[in-house]
Amino acid sequence: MMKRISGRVAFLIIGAAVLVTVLLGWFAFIAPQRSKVAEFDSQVQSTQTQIADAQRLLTGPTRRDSLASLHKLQGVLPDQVKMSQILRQLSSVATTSEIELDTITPQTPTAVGGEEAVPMTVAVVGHYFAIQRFLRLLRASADVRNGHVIGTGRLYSVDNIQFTGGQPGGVISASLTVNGFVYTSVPAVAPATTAPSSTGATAVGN
Amino acid sequence: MQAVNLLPLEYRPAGRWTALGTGLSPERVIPIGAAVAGVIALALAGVYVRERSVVNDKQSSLAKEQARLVAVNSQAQAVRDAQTQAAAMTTAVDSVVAGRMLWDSTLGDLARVLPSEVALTALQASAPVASVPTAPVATDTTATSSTTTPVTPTAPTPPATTFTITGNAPSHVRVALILDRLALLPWLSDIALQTTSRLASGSVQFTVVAAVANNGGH
Repeated sequence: MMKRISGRVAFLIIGAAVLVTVLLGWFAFIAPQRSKVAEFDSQVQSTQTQIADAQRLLTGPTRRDSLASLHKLQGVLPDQVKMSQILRQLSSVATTSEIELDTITPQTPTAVGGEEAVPMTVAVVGHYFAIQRFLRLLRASADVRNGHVIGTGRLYSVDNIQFTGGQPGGVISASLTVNGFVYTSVPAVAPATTAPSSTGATAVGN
Repeated sequence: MQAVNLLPLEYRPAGRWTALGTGLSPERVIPIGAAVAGVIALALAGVYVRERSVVNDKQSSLAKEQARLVAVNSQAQAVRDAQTQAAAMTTAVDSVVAGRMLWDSTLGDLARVLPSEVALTALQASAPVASVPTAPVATDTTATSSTTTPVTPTAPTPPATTFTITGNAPSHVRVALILDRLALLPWLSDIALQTTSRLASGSVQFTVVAAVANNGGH
């Protein structure tokens, strides 16, 4: 067999076989590994970038600011009614504005969007401008200025005021509908109020 | 004149490539070629093994980095949660603050516009949009009905009159001045005199109604 092929042909066959071996070895075995290396390199880089971002979040001022901001907001909009805190704050504001708190009558909390309002009927006695100061301090207890929540107390709103004068020394008695607010993380659905059965109103109609 | 080679083809001197391998015998070429191919195959195998080990190194380093990322992310998640909650709470505070009535401003405005010698004896005012939706009371006075109707609190609609003041003025002209001055307040609209009556003391008692147009923020 070997004698039948010339040296030249044998040389060419061997050359071709070597070339095929090199090409096959490179493209079938080595090139895929090199492409895997490049792929892993890019994944490692992307992971390192994510780690750097997360570490920046943990070590930079963002973490401190976020937690401080959340802490402040939890004071402004607590997740529980905390009526004792409301009483203390209303008393403090009343004392500062030189009015007297007569009665505070809380009503059933009502869901309003993402928070819950706790309506209270607050009766106060004082001068007109003292009541005005009371309302100003109540508003300043928690306010928003330039997109930042400011104030040292809870969030309040007043829906209704009515007063009657006539007392000696210009003192007036005012009744205010004040709302305190409670944060509920999930927007609460307004509870359906069931009107009481009208059987009890039989006597009214007659 | 051009030279002409008259030798037969097989006797002519060969070109560089055409002569390649002509002097080799297959008995020599094949073992040498096989040895060269073996060496090349071994070299390729070596390169493959090296690349494979690099891949393994990269894979293990990726696994380490991913484990680190999971650990760091679990700590960072608390901060992200805090940011999300703070943003939601800020939005909630914003919505309440934007809608609440600035009663201190409105009472200050009212005190400024009321003429001298006019005293208010009663005031009743409601915010145009209440923070708390009011549940309409279902009243049924029929003797036989016993149906229970669920009532859902509805978004408040501003009542026609949300502002009423009652007071005493020295004269009707002064009451007219009150109406003119109240008309200057940007947060009041539909100002109307409800009643006036002269008292035994000679002063005029008046009642003025209006609608609160906005939250008093001007």
